[in-house]
Amino acid sequence: MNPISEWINQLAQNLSLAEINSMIGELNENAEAKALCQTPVFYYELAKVQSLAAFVLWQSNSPSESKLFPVLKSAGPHQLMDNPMAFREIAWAQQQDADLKNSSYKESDLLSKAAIIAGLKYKSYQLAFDYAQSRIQGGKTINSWSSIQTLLSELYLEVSADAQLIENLNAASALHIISGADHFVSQNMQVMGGAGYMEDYIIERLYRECIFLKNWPMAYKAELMNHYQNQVLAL
Amino acid sequence: MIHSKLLDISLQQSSAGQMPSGLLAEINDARNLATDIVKTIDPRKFEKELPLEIIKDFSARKLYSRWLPKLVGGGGGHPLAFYGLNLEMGGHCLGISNLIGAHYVALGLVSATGSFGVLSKITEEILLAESNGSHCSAALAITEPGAGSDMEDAELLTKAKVCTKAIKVSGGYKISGQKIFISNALFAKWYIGSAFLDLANPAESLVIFAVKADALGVSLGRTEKKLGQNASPASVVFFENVFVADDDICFSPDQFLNFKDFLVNSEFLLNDLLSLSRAGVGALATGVQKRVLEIVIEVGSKNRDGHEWMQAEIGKLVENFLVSKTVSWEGHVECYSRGPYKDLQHPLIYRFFKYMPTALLKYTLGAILKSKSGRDALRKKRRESISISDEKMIFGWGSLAKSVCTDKAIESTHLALALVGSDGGAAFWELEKFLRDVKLQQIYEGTNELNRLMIYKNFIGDEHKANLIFQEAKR
Repeated sequence: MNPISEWINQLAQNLSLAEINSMIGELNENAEAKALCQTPVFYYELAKVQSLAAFVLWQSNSPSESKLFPVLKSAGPHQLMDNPMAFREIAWAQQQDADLKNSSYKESDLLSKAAIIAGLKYKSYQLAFDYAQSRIQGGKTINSWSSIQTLLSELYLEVSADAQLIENLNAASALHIISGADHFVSQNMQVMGGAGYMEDYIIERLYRECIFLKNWPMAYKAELMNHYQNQVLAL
Repeated sequence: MIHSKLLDISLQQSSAGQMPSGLLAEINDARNLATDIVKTIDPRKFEKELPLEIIKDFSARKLYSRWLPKLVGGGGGHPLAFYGLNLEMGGHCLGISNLIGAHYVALGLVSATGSFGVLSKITEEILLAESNGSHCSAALAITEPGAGSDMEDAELLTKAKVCTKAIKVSGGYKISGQKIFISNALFAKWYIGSAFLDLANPAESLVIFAVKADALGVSLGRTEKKLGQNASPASVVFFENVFVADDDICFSPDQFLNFKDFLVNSEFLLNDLLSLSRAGVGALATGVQKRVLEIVIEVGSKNRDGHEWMQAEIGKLVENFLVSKTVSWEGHVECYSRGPYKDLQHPLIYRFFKYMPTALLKYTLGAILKSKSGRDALRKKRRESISISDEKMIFGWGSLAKSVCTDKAIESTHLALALVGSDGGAAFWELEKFLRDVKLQQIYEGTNELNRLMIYKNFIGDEHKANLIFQEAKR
């Protein structure tokens, strides 16, 4: 196992925010590792196992003047992973900071965000797939019902396409990954029924994170329109 | 602000057919009542706090008895008026709406069994609580660890992996088992539950019972931590050798002389309850869309109202809202004009119950219906009034209202969040809460995926071999 994989696996444990910060600090001291962990592929792989850690790492690496990371740090040794409200509370704190609107959100941020969302989508699909193999309804596991298979098959197509896009990510493919992410995670929750709505299965947290990330630091529709008008139409 | 005409339910009055005019006024009264109720409630407060003060307020306003029949001493509100209440309360907080809705779904099941004796007993306790400053409500305990959507369809029930067992003993039944995701079990005084005489053959051994929450052997498990609707906590309920007297058994095979009659009533029991409650879910989801639309208009007018693309997206939200409003209203009218409550739609019967004093009804007709012969007569009437084509319309429209309106609500809320963005401040977080709350509506009362199969089965199946539905379970 290479050091990066080992590091990701460590992050996959239920670490506190302080522990994540400490690990990120160690990582930043290693120039080679630091360069590697700023790529979309890395964010994607990390988000597959721990989307929050990927988010914190992105914020620590971001060249922008975002004020979100200091807010995260101020949360102290808060057990973020154990506290489903945390993401919401952090975001509320971020809302207080009007300076964020003036920060320099760059295309590299968009790529990092899309990679994290792609990882998060993969994780939600994996949870739904595993659940469908064990949950019994009508006397059979639900993955043997063709109506569930058709739902899962569409979700499978999307995660497979995401994995390809991540390899050579650009702004358009990043926006494409983000575009239907909320619907995608929501559909995976449908597979899991009432269980998916409960905090025991982390998919409900992934859904909240996805909604937030898709529309942070600006509304997705505005981000898309900005990209199209500025980059494609060159207005 | 949304043009007032868009919210006017009389737009679809033609679909109401011969509906008594007083009923439309009653629906509007319920809407006004809901507006009054929610104006002082901060939904965010009850994300982390039990809504005890709200329950107390609801009880003081006599909301827990308002829509129970006068025949058992209730307020006699027409069940269709609930549409107006759901429309307005859904646009405020689905969790708080569920504090009333789940109570009436539970007692709706008792009513559908024809057991007016049990309904009367519970109503008396509700009335007493409402008069002495406390509260009494009911919770429906159906879902089990191994059976969710399975419990929502008579055909799937044949294969359901159920665990709540009923054993006949002298003077009643002993109930043992476990129920999960039970809304409001934490503060309900009565549980209306299902159990089975034969766990291997649940569809042919259904027992519906009413039991006090503090009865010996009844205990609460953990309260679930869930994505939304936190104002309406869901809990695990355990039944450990709980004795339920025959008088509190709402429905069981031994109450029928003929087993075939039991099977017929049993099958339509589920249809009756679910079609009505699913239409109600559609109204709640429509209410959500109304508020979502208002939020986007408010924020949009501040930020990007001048942009044509924003106007077009708002147009999409209006589309979704109006489609949902039409479908949910049509669903209500179809279900109430064809189902077990269809007689109440007749103008003469409607006026009879509306203007007849409660005491007179309770001690005459009500007293007859409370008896065993009255209960059996109600069940016989239900069996004889069943028309398969009507049943298909009821069940199909219930599923349609639920799946269309909740899917549209999710779609609209996703879109609204993408328009408002996290830089939209409080508006973003109000939308985010609606999304977390409304997501449950796509799941409960049978997932929307199951409901779409019901739409096929009931609207298309006749022409295309409906009996093939759920055949995969038999392979």
